[in-house]
Amino acid sequence: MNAMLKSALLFIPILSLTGLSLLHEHHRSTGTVWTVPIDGYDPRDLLSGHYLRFQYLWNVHKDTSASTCSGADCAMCTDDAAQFNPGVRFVPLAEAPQACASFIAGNAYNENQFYIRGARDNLQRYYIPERDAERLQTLFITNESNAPKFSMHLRVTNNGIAYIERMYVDDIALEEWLQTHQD
Amino acid sequence: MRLNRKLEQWQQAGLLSKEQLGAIREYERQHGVGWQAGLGFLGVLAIVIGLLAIIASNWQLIPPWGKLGTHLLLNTLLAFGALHKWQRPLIAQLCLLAWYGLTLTFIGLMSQVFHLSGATASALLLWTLLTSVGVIYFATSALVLLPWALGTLVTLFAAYGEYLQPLVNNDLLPALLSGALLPTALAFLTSLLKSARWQALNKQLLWLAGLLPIVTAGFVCQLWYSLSLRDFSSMQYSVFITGVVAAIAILLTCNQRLAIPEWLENTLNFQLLLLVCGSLIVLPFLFSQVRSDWLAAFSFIGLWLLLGWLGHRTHSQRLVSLAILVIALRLFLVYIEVFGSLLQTGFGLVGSGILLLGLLKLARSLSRKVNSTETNKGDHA
Repeated sequence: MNAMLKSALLFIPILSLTGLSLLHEHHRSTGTVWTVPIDGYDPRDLLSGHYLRFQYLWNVHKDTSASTCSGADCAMCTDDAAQFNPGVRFVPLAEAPQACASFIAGNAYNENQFYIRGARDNLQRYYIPERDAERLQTLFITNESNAPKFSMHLRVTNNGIAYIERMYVDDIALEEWLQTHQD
Repeated sequence: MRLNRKLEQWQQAGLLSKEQLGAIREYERQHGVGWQAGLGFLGVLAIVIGLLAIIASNWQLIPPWGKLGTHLLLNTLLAFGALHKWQRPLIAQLCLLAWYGLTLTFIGLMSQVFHLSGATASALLLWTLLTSVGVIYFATSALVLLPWALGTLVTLFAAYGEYLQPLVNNDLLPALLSGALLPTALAFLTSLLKSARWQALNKQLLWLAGLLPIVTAGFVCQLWYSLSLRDFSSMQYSVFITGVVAAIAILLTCNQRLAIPEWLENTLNFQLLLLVCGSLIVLPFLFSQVRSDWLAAFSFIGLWLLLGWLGHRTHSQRLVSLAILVIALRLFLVYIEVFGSLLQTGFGLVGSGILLLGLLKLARSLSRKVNSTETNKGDHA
């Protein structure tokens, strides 16, 4: 085996993983933005290691007849131009590319139960700094009216794959918010 | 130093001449690891751990591409290190091992940075698929091959649990059989290739091909204690997959291309070992409603009796000694199981201790007897 081919055996994995990282980054930076409010997860086992667990407060269409899909192979579909908390309905996945401006593939059960395809944890956990974990948890579960509002920026690709882009607190990126709110 | 004291004792006993003693000391001085090297190693280790702790405590402050880029750079350097012709080949092997492990950590880091949440089995499969060809080609020692074999086994078990288990009605048996026979299958594949490198790998795999069925069978023997793990409900998928695995195993073991592990010395012994191990793995599942402490003990002891006999046949004294020791310890466990309540009293503890000492004495004398028989045979030959 010549030297180039030998080297390839060790460098192809590195190049493949680099390519995969770039692909994820591309999807994450070019997908349609959905900003979805989030709330504490119930039961309130919020901190799992360095991850904050939460649930999405989807803005599901009040008129139940707008949703035409239930169970597996559905899509959460939006035609709403608003980035923040867009109105959504459930449609069959096969119809989603034609019927929706943007959609997330998954399984729909009711407005609070939508399982995002390919995401084992349903994209419901977010890596946070260890030193801020306790403070964020307290803020997250408080019911006070002046408590900060948490939301998640999702990036959604044209074929319905969702990526977490960043967590926001009062419309400020979490990392910046933590720097300006050091208690 | 213990070695010096021993050397002096050997010299006083007339086993070593003064010149030999000097030569051994000189050799050890040149090749051994002195206290300076030990302290140096400790210093480097402290620095590395310190740096890792600093990086870990500021993990959130490092930009995502900073983390990914640094990790990729490290992997690239290790790949170069594995390809470089070092004066000590061990360094290249260490680089290869680190490259193999750090490929997995990079996949984990990617998952953290991009908040991916796929199955662990998918990450392990990607890792094994990306690295296996490189590892198999460049690995020349067990230092890399054993971790790779273990990593591959873990991957296969995880993949089985994630993708196959739902299809085969939650059965453990096909997974255990496949895992136990995997090195045999890989050894068969490498035996088809003629180059010296593949033949070297074939040797390592054959060693594992002998070891893994023994370990698996030893573990499965203990399943006679429990019913819950052996819910072999004879559904068509489980029977089908078990049958396929068993058929592949039979084809592999009957194949003359498969040379045999050195310590088994001939193909018949190897086939006998695989047959017994395969049976011991299958039986607790076939009789899944039978729960028996005695079967657990006797099947395990039977396996080690076979190993002792194979060791005796192939003049492997170490294997015979090991088999005798393992059997003695297992018999002691049987005693504890049967007379366990006595252990709550002082008499029970004393009795157990005496029994253990007796068994050890018996094991030693048996081992010595076998060894002296082997030596006599060797002298006659």
